[in-house]
Amino acid sequence: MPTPDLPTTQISDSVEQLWGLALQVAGCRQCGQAFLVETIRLGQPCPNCACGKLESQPARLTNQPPELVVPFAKTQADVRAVLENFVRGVWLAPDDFNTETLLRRAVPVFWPMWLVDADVVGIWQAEAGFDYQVKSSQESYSNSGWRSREVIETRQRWEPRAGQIVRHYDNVCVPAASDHARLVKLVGDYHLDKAAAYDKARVTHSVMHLPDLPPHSAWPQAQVGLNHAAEQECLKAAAAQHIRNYSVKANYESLNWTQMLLPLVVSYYADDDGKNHPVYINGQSGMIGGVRMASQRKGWRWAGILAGIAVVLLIMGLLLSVVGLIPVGGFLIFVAILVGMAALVPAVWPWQWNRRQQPEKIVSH
Amino acid sequence: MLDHPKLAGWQPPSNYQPVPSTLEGITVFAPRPADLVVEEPTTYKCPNCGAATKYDITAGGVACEHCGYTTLAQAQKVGVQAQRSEFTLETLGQAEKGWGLDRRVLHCDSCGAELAIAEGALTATCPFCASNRVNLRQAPSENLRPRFVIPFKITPEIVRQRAREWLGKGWFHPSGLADSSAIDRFSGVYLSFWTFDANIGSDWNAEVGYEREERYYDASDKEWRTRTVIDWRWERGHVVTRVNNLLVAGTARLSHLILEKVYPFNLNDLVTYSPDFLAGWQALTYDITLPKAWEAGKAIMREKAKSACYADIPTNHVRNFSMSADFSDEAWRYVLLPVYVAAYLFEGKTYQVMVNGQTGTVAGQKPVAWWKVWLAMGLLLAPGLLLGLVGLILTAAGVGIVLLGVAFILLIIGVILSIMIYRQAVASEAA
Repeated sequence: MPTPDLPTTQISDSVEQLWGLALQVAGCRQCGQAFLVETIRLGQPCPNCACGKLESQPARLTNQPPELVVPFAKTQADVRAVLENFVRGVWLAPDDFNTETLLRRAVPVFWPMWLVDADVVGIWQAEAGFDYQVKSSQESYSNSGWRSREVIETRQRWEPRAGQIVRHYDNVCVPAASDHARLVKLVGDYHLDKAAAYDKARVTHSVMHLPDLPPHSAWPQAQVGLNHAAEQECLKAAAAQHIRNYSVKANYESLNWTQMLLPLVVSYYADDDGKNHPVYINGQSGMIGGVRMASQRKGWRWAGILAGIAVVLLIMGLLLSVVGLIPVGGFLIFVAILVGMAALVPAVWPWQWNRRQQPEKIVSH
Repeated sequence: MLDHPKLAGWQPPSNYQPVPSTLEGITVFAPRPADLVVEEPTTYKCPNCGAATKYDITAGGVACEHCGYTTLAQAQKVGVQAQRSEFTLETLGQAEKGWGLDRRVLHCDSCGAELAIAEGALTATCPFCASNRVNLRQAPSENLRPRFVIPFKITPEIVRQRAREWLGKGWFHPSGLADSSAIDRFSGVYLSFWTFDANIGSDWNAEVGYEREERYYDASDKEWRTRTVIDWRWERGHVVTRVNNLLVAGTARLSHLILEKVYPFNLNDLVTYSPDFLAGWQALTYDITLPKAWEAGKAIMREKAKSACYADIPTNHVRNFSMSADFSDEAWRYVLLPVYVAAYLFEGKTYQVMVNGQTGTVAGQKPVAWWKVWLAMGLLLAPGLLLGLVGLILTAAGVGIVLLGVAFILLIIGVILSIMIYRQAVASEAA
C-alpha cells in the first residue's frame, strides 16, 4: 500500500498564535534537540542532555497546536522526596549531587507524542481464538476409597477469519521524539487516559520539547499503531477472545496529526570532571531515572587520609619496637596494615560504582 | 460486504462464508463447516432392478442380492488415529439428553408406508417393500453422531459354524446342544461404544516395607537364629499412565458380562462412518450417555493408575497407601462396532450368545446339565470321604492315622476342584 499524504513541518513564526504562550524557539548544539522556552531560559543548560546551552534558533513546526496534555501530578514536595530517595545510598557522591541542588535546577518539561487520527480501509485476516471449557477430574485414593473432584479448564480453539475493514481511529499515540524509548525506560509509562485537552494554563512556565521525528519519520510506527487498533477491533468484531497472525492490507485516509504533551521534571548535577548528568522524573508517576555517579576525587582523598594514618602508625610501631616496646609496637604495625588495606576501599569503590552505572540505571520511587 | 471504492472486487476465500460481526465497518468471514449438511434418512434400493440392497460383507459395499449390482462403501480407513473429541461443557450438556426414548415414525420413500421403528434403532426395513433405511437425524448434536465404524467382517455362515463349535465344547452341557436349530437365528447389530483416552499423573504415598535378615539369640534354645524382619519407611513417587482407546459399551440392553467376553475389537480397522455399512443391518444408538460411560471409564482408568503406582513400589509390603490421580488430555469417540447377537430357548429357558463381528470370538450363556456337575463333584469328593471313613475305623484299632492324613489331603483337593467346576457351571449360565 502506498504511503499516504503526511503533513509537513515548516519554519513558523506563529508559536504564540498556535500555543497561546509567549515562547521562543531554542535549541541545543550538543544534542540537537529543539524546544519552546520562555526567553528567560535562554542560556540555561539544555533540559534534554544538560550538557549544552539553550540558544535561540529557528525550528520546523507543524501548524497545529497540541491537542492533549497529561498534567503534572507531582508537587514540589513530591519531587523533593523522590530526589532525596535518589540521592540517598550513593557513598562518596560528588558535592553537586544533593537534593537541594537538584531541586533548585529542576525544570518542568513537556515532551511530545504524536496523536494520529485516520480511516483504515482494507482487508484483514487472522486466527481468532475462542475460549471453551472442558471438564477434567482429579481423583484421590486413600483407605476410605476414591474421591473425585471436578476441574473445569479453559482452553482455546483457533479458527481462521478474514474480512474487510472501514473504521476510523482517533488519537493513536506515536513517539515524536527519537529518544522516546530511552525516556520511557528511564521514567516509565504514562497513564494516557489522564490526558486533558490542551490549555495554556497547564503548561505555563514549562519547557516544550519539540518533536524531532516529523510525521514522515514517525509514519511507520503510526502505521503499526493504527494496525494494532484495527486488530483489536477485528478481534471484537469476530466475537473472539484472542487473535494471532493478524495481517491487514490497508489504505490510510483522512490522516490528522496533532500532539500530546507528557510531563517531565529534568534536573542535573555535575561530576568530578564538571560533566553534567541529567536526572529525569516522570511528572505523573514520580518515577526517577538517571545516572548516579560517585566521586573518584573524594575516593582518592579518603584513601590518601587513611594511607597517611597508616604510615604514621607504622612509623610509631617501628619506633616503639626499636626501643623495646615490642608488644605495643607490633600492635601498632598490625593496626597500620589494617588501615592501609582499608585505604584501598575508597580508592576502588567509586570506580566500581561508576562502572555499574553505565548504561543509565533506573531508580524508581 | 462493505461498500467502499477501495474494497470493490474483493472476495473472501472460496470456502469462506460470512459470520456475524459485532462491529459496524468490519465484516467477518469464516471457513464453511465441513459437516454442516444434515444427514437425511437414506433408503437403499437397487438402481437397476428396484430391489432392496444391503451392505455385503464379502463385496465390501452395498449390493443387490437380486441382480448383483454392487457399489463400494464410501469410507476412509482411519484406525486408531480417528479423530477424538474433548469433554467440552457444551458437548457434555448435549450428551446428557441422550437420543430420546420415544418410538419414532419413519416415512418409507419407496412405498409410502409409515414405519414405527424401535427405541434406539438407527435402521429399519420396510415390511411392505423390504427397502432398507438408515436414519441418524435425531442425534442430540452433530458431534454425538457415530463418526467411525468397524464394518462387519465375519459372515453369518461363519458365525453359525463358530457358534456350533462353541456350543459343542464342554462336558457339563446337555448333549445335542450343538444341534439346536435355535442358534441359527443370529442378528448382525452395530452396537454403540465409547472409546476413551487420558493421561493420568499419579502421586502416591505409602509406607513401604523392606525385608531384612536379623540374627537373634534364642534364650530358650540357647543358640543364635536368623529371622526376617520388615523395616517400614514412608516413600512417595510419581507415575504417569497413558490409557488409549478404552472401550466402554454404550448400550445397557445387552449383557455387559457376555459383551466383554467378545472383546477385543481391533480399532485399527475403524473407518469413517457411512450409512452404507448399516444398510440392511440393525444398529442401536447409545442409551448409556457420554457422562455415564465416562464415569465407568474413569473408574477403570484410575484402577489402572493405582496398579501402576503399586508396580512402582519395589516390594510387596505396602501399607497406608494413598494416591492422587490427575487426569489430563481426556478425549472420547463415539463408534459403532459389529456384534452378532442370538437368543435361543432350551428347555423353556432363554440363553444369549454374542459373536464379535470383526474377529469371530464367541461368548454367551450355555445351559448346564446339573446332574453331570453333581456327579463330577461327587466323584471328586468320594475318594477323600471313603478313605477318611476307613481311616476312622482303623484309628479305633490304633493304626489309621496315616490313612486319615491322606484322606484329608484328597478331600481338600476334591473340594477345590468341585468349587472350580461349580463356579464354571454357574458362570456358563450367567448373563
